[in-house]
Amino acid sequence: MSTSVPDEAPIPVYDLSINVRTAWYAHSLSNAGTDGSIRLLPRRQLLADGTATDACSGNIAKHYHAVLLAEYFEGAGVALCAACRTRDGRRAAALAERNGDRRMTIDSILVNCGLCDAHGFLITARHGMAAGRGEARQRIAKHSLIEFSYALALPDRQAESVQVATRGGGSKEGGQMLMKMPARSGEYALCVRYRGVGVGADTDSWRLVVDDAGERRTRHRAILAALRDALLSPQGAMTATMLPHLIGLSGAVVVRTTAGRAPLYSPLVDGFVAHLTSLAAPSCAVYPFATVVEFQAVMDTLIETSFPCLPATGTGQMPPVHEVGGRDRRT
Amino acid sequence: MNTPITTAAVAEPWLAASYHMPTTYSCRTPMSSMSSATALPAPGPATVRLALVRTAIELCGTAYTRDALFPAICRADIRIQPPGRVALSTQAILAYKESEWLSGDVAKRDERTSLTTAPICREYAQAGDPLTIYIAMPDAYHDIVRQLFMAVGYWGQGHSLASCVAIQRQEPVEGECARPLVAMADSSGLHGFVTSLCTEFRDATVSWHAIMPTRSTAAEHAFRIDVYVWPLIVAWRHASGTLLVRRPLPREDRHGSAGADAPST
Repeated sequence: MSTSVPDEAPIPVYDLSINVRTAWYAHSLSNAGTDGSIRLLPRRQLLADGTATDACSGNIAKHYHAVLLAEYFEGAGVALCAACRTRDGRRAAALAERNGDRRMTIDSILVNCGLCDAHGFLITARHGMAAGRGEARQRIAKHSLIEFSYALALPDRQAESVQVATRGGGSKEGGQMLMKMPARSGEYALCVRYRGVGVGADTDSWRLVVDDAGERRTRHRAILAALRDALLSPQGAMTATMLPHLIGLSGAVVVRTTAGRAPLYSPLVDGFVAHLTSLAAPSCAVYPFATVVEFQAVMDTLIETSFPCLPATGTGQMPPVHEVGGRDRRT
Repeated sequence: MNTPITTAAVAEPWLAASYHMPTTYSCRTPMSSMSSATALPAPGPATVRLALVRTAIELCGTAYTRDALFPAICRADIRIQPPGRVALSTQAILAYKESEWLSGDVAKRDERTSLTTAPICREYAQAGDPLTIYIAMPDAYHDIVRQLFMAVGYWGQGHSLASCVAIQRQEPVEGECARPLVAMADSSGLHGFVTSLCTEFRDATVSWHAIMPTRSTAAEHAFRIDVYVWPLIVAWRHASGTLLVRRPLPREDRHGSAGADAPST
């Protein structure tokens, strides 16, 4: 099923992918550090065809999505933990450090913090007093529901200009230092995956913890809204003085409405939208867009009409398997 | 003693699942440092088994996966055909790491460790061609395994996005899949091929609790690490990265000697 704008009927979202070519001009959204103190280094990725291209890390995109999502959650009244209220990127792990709270469980974390639920967290196991490390604790974790790929510039559509800027020096005499900062422009291929089914769920055991449908939908809508804004208003490194010019946005949003995965296809490949459109099926809706306006229309409709699926476990959807004798194949 | 995985006399039908990797991916080489991680060109066999188990838990539930699917996944033969061309680049990123508390702050004397950010290096791969996973299982499992393969969404890190583009009955192409070095009778023709450590299940009798441990279960080694030979050679290597290109591994005749297909590098 391929349409330009989703229907008004409620759309269940099990898995969603955004496959997009986005054009950013004059940006330095993601960098690989400096060569000391003089030059800011762009991030490069070698491609399988032998060309090296500009890259923007998905980590920084995910970080800014989390920051924006926290704002949406606060506006919608979704609970945030003490760490996420202060935008601590360690999330629930920061609480375990600060308080050593032995009452923390996966259920308490998912119920009491929408951001930990959406972006995941990891509280590592600790063996206990014998290792000289305080109270023992079990590992508690949840994978992120939103994954950002590296944004890779199309090799024949990228450019870089090195801008000379000044910054405060580090010596006690003060003064200014010259610094070279790359301003890159190009059309970037980016994929994002969002697993709507995981909202409010323990994704290790696939047990629904937040079973209030209204709460799950509120979280889901905020996640989609933040995704929309992240693409329409790019954020990253150096945006205080090098805010990117968004020149164009084209691609396809793919929604899987039953158990499974929404297909992805690299926007590095010409014709990726046609390829995705050909994968449309009753349980896989494809919404292509060619402009910023069309993308916003698609996302706005999904925000208004879609809801997160329930986990598939225990529904009896999978076919039974009959044992064929347990012959060991290994010697 | 580690035992090689060999094909039984009566072959079970193979399924081949091809994955499009739309962007960069990173499957960390076993035993490589977390702060300077190298990447495999494709996931290893243990990764494939664990991904099937994880996906099965999502789609079928824990009990069904444990009782009906897990034994078959452990017994299955798995082969991995890497993409035709794989580019590897090292990226500098920030990561959280636990560090011993060294502060003299009396108020924090009960905190023994702290999570801090630190720069690390990690290799990322990019491939334009699909990677293919082959699995040999009884016919009765094929329908369910197809659905599991279709539902695997990443290989390696969570943002190493993958999309299954085709599943079909097909046997592995001779010489085009990674093989454990111990399974190769003659290693003399392997010069120039890429090798790496890969993780595989210890054997077919790995228990459920070994990979899903709880506080009440005794620790059990579920994995073993072997040297694997990939059907890949280094096309070139310079500052921007390394390019690997697929080449068939040398044929092994009945007497175990390598054929004349080794690359001249």
